[in-house]
Amino acid sequence: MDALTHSAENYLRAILEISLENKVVRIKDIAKRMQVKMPSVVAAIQALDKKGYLVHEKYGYLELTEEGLEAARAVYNRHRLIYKFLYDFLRVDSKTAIDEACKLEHSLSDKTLRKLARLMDYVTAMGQNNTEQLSEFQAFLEGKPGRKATVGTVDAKNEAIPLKELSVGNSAKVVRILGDSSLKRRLLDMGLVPGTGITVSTIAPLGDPIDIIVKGYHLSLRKEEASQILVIPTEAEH
Amino acid sequence: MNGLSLKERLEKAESKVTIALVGNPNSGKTTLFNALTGSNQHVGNWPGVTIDVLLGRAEFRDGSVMIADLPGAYSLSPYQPDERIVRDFLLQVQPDVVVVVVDASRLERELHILVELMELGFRVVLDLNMMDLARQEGLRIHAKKMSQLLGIPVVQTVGCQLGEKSKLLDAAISASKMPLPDFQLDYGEAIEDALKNIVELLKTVPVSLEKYPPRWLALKFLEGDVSVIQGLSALPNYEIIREQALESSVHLEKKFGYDVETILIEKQYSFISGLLKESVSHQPTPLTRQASTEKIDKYALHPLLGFPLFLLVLAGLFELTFKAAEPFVFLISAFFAEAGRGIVAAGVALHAPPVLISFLANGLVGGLGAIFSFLPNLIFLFSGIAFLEDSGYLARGAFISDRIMRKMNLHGKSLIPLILGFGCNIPAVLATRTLPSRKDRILTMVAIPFISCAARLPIYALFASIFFTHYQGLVVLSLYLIGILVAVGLVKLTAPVFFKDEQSALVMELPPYRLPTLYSIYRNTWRRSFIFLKKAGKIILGAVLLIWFLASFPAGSAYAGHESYIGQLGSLLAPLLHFAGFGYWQTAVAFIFGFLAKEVILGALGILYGATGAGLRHVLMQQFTPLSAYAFMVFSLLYMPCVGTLAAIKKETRSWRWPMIVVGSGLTLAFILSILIYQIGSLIGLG
Repeated sequence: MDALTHSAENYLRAILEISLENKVVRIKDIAKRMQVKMPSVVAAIQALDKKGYLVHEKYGYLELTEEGLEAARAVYNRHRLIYKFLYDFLRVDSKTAIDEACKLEHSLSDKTLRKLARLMDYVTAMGQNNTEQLSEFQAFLEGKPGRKATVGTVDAKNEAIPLKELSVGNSAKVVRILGDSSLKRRLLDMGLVPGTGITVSTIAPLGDPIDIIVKGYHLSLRKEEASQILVIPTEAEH
Repeated sequence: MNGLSLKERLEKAESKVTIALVGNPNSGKTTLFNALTGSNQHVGNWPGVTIDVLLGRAEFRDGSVMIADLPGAYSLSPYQPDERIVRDFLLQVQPDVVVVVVDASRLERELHILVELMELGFRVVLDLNMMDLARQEGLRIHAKKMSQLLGIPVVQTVGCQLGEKSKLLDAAISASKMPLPDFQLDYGEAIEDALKNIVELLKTVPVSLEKYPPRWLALKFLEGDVSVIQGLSALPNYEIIREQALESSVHLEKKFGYDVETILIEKQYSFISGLLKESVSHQPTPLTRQASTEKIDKYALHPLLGFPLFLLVLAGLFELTFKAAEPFVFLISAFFAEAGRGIVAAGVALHAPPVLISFLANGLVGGLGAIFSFLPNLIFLFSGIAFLEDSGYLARGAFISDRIMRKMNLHGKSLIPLILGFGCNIPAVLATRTLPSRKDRILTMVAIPFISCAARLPIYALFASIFFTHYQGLVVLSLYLIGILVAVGLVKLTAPVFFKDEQSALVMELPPYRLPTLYSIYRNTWRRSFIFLKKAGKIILGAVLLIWFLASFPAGSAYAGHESYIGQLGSLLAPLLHFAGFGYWQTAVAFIFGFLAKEVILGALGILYGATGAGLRHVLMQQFTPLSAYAFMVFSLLYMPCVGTLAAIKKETRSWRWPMIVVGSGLTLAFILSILIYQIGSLIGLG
């Protein structure tokens, strides 16, 4: 979503807000809510429309598309990630964390945020192995004296593999779904929650997509989606 | 539709009870809806989308009941268009009862949406559908126990038996008289505490949030559902609530090791498996639907046989749509031609003004004929697609061809519309309905107009037979290939420009095979054909009348003659075509006529040159060289889809933008390619 400007994000937000209150969203509603003039709304709407985030109906009604909602979700998740980093990792107080997350979410690039997320995963996994180490690390952040944290090798997840690496007939248990997009929500809704058993049933003639059995039904996924699902292989059932 | 929104129409209908049918795709919901409402139904539009909400009325005991058949949904998440409509519809229309229809043999996944609906505070009736199949699979479902555990009425149906109608409606109507239930799934202490805190904060909000139960809102805040959270950001103490929710969610995430979205859905699923443990027992039987499905899939998904088999099915659909419909198309065309002649004869006998006769015969009757002659193709196509969709095979076809289609930035389900495009672009565009995401639908629609439809073949055939006697087949084949290349290229170019940030996913159920009911196919076909005639018909008729006007006026000029408006327009455009080697006003006018339907190009040339058959061949031989003839064929392949295709794209995308993009890119490519072919060909001495 790097191309989405700060102001465009605010417009998306305003449209979402209005659409929940009223059934229809009109340009003049947005102008009123954002306290700007109609022509600037029209220009912003056209920009969003070009990106495919909106459906512009006749009579000036607007509706967010799937892409628009996905963009809003990404904005939200970015905010949440920064908040979590400030509040949970750096132990900044919640109020400050919220305020600063609001500012940082618009200025940090996706690239930086991905790295930040990885750092946080790493530290969390480290903490799961060795709680002492984590609390020492956090004490260190607070400026308290202590042994310099030595980051050991993290192997909490080393048994889990992406689902796409299973072959036909293999069974496994779902560990978690990676990523933060709406795809994750989709996969969870379809029953791929942690602990669920799956079996690879068929792989399409050209090697992609694959078909798995989960909760008693057949679900097909592209390898790309299957790589987002971490599983631990179990004994094949025969 | 009469300017009334769905909601207003529901409110206006003097029905005592409004029932919404909700359920997973393939749960037999629509079959049930058809059985309940019969022919008493219509399609409602929901703003901004092309997904149908079906409304119907059932007369029952002491009054009539309004029933809405919502799109198939696996959950109430806001991120899938179908599911979002279900959620929006329920929240905005607030039906009295929601009947959740589930396939009783796949309870675990199908009950997920039930839990979500109960959390939203609706009066819910659970309909265990396809009980016969569940019994075959060896499932013993204790409906009474299930009803007790869930605290809602549970009915059992088979799907299309008459006696079930009153059983289901009775349960729904008596449920509608009950007070609103207060269902709370126990998420465990940590989450419950977090929920409690947010609910307390929500209670201090001075505005009424009655549509949304506070506990449900708290859940949405916790899991980070942007469509709800951001929608409430106008609340006075929004910042406090959001801060509380963020803080709690970070704590919970740390405690459980998962994000809140995952935790909540996992808890819902474990509630369901607990429920099923108490109320369902299973004795394996050998003759299950699962087993027969697997037997068929051995062939349908076979590494070597799978693809040829799918192509065979496609060929069958193609034959059905075009060959089987042919006699009917012929009859309808003949009828309208006869009617036209009848009007002319009657007009002459009554000494009616020639303009009026021409208007009625060429304009009105001609236009209606153009619209209705599509009807047989559509009916056969829609029945074929409904059969493939309902039987479960369509999903297999998409599974097999997805890899190839993805190379072209399309989806496995794009293949069927594209293949149909070789017959006629209009049904092809309408067949994009089966695609799951807006991106895939639109990209497929952008590609279709460049697939050489059957109406373009007569043009190729005539010109190839005159100018390329020895290479007719090769020349025609090259035109088909140019069309395919342009279609693929355009999608490749369009995708990153208009859908840059969007990924398309394939997360698709392969449902068990089943034999669709004839009644369901009939209703489906009738509905889709009717909507097409109604919506696209207006545009097609308008175009026919416009062209008739241009060809007939100013008064006194010969029909489509040099002096008529259309002739003048042709003279104006001819110099542009000159660079492609066919800069005659007649060809320009023929192309304008071709906008109505591509096959009309030949007929128009015949009229304009005043010759048919051998005479026309002779004229064309003098006007064209082999090189300019080839450029002419390329131009007629690409320059513009016919008005019917444009009307279909307009109808499916609900905007003029995509038809315009198709026309713009078509015209540009047609000019560039035909001019390049002619100029380069002339340079290297092919002219």
